[in-house]
This record gives sequence, structure tokens and C-alpha cells, in this order.
Amino acid sequence: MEGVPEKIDVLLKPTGDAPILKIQKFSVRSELPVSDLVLNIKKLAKLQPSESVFLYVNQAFAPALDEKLATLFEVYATNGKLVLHYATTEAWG
Amino acid sequence: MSEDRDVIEAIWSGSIPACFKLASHECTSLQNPEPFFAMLPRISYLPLLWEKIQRHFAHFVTEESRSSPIWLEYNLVPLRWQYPIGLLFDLLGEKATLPWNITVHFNDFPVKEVLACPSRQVAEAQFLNSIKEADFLKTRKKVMNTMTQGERRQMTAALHSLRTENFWAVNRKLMFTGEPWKHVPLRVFLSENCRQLQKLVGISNAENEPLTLREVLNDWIQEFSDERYEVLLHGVPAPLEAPLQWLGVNMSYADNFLYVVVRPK
Repeated sequence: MEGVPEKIDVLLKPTGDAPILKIQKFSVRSELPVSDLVLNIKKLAKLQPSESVFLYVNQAFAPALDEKLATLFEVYATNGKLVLHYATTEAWG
Repeated sequence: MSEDRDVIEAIWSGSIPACFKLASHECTSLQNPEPFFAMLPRISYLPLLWEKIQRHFAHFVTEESRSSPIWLEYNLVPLRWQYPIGLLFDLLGEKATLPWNITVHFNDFPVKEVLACPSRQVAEAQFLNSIKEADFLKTRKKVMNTMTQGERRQMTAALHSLRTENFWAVNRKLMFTGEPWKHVPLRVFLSENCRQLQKLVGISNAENEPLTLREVLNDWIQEFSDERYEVLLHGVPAPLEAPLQWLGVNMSYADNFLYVVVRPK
């Protein structure tokens, strides 16, 4: 999306029993889909491929995995950062 | 504001005749399968039909692909099942003749282009998430916080069986929220490049008058004009001068989002 920088700041916060990541703030290419972030969290948290990661925006909804981070940033970023919560079981059902 | 029953009934009764055919190179039977014909409700979603489609074609593909998740394609474009059928047709089917010819695949799932949807439950969860997002935009999730599991099930079941009144018995809570909407759930699609635009948009303009769809499109799309573009909502020209919130109440899809297609004339 025009107006969204090529690289955006994403802040990841654990929810429930999700493992805490050593680094929580990332600079990510905004053209990437949400699924890329999910894969990275799995890698960083050393989760098994069979384990799930659920991502939430504003502790309210899970975006579609093929949604571009740029779109989420455009609509939901606050103070220049996109804050996402991650969980290993479904939250905010 | 109250709902406009005639508009809502018209939207819920819109449908597209479609003809599903198995991708010819995936057919392993000597005899080609008959196509599968269906009237697709514009307001609904493709995965609600998948069991039927899968059953219809399963015996014509190899045994190992029989149980793999199917995917659908029109004109070499894989169909993103999380979007309502009406939007997909308005976005991709401009030059389509009716019935809309859709190709069914069991093999070579295009992981980079569409999400896997192995079951109806996955599609329903995605649908509810879209409702949650819309409610977040309107009320910062006040309505969904108090919505019971029973009410959620009523919405998905009513969408499946196309019972408008059952759906709206719950949907009314999402639409008439008792306080002004903070933002209007709106996604605009440009058919030229299939680009999706979504930004925060309120219900009033700078003069504190109801914001219209035309004002939004002028703001979002460079050199937007009636001469250059046509704007579709549910397959018909969108009323550009209507207040955006009126459109949100009466012309949203079932997930409470307005999906507007803008295409060059």
C-alpha cells in the first residue's frame, strides 16, 4: 500500500502459555503476508512444526494468513508500530 | 437509522449460475465426469460447497489425491475462498459468460497464492474472525465481547441455509450498536491489478456531514471519476452518494464488511 514504509516495526507480545521471545521488536518487510511472521515466531520460539501459532490484532481478531502486513500496519498501527499478540492456543474466541 | 429490508432481501437473494469442471489433466478416468452445476449465493462462500464438489469429482482422480484439499480456479487465477462469492465474481468475472466456468483441482495446491481450507469449520472460523474485525472497527469489539456461542452458531448456520431473518436477528446487534460507529469496515478492490485498499475511515467528513462512498474513493484512488471507473457492489453500480454508514448497515456482506470493486470503464 502506498504510504506504508517498505520496512515496518512489529512488536510481538505473548499471550496465555506462549513462550516469550528473546527479541520482541522486529523490523519486517511490509509486503510479506501474516503467514511469514507465524513461521518466524515458530522458529524463534523453537516450536515443533506440528504446534500452532495464532496471531491477533488488538486482542480482537486473527487476520487471514495471507493478509499483507502493510494492510494491517495501515489500519491498526499505533505510534508507528504494529502490535500483535501471539498464542499457541486460540485466544479471544 | 433502521435497516432497509428490500435492499437486504435483494442482496441475500443474489446468485450466480456456475459450472464446475475437473481440471482435464487431473482426470484419470477414461470417461470425463459430468460438470457440476450450482447456483452460487453471492453472499456466501465457496467452502460451503466443497463437500459436494469433492464428492462429485473424487472418483475421477487418483486415489492419493482424492482426499487432498481441493482448490478452485477461474481463468488461471486461484479463487481466494475467504472472500464472498459475489466479490470474487465482480472482481474476476468481468468478461465471464454465464454460467461462470470454474475449474476444480485436487493436485498442485498453490500454497503461495491461496490458503488451504481443509474443512467447512476452517472457513467458518475465518468468517467469524472477519466479523470480529468489523466489530473492532465499529465499536472496538464491544458487541462481539458479549455475543454468545449460540448467537455465533446462529449466524454461520443462517448464512449456510440462507435464512436472512435468522441471520439478521443476531446481525442487528452488530449493526445498531447504540453509539456512533468509530470506523466503517470497508475494503476496496481495484480490478486492474487485484489490489486491495483498506484504511481507517469514519462516518463523517470534515464538515461533520455524513461521509459518502464517492468522497472515500476520491480520497483513496488517484484521479477517480465516473468517466474512468465503474464501481460495483453486489454486482450492481454502487450508490456513490449514499452515506457510508447507510451502506455499511444495508449493503455489507455477511461478515459486516463492504467489499467494493472499482474497475476501469
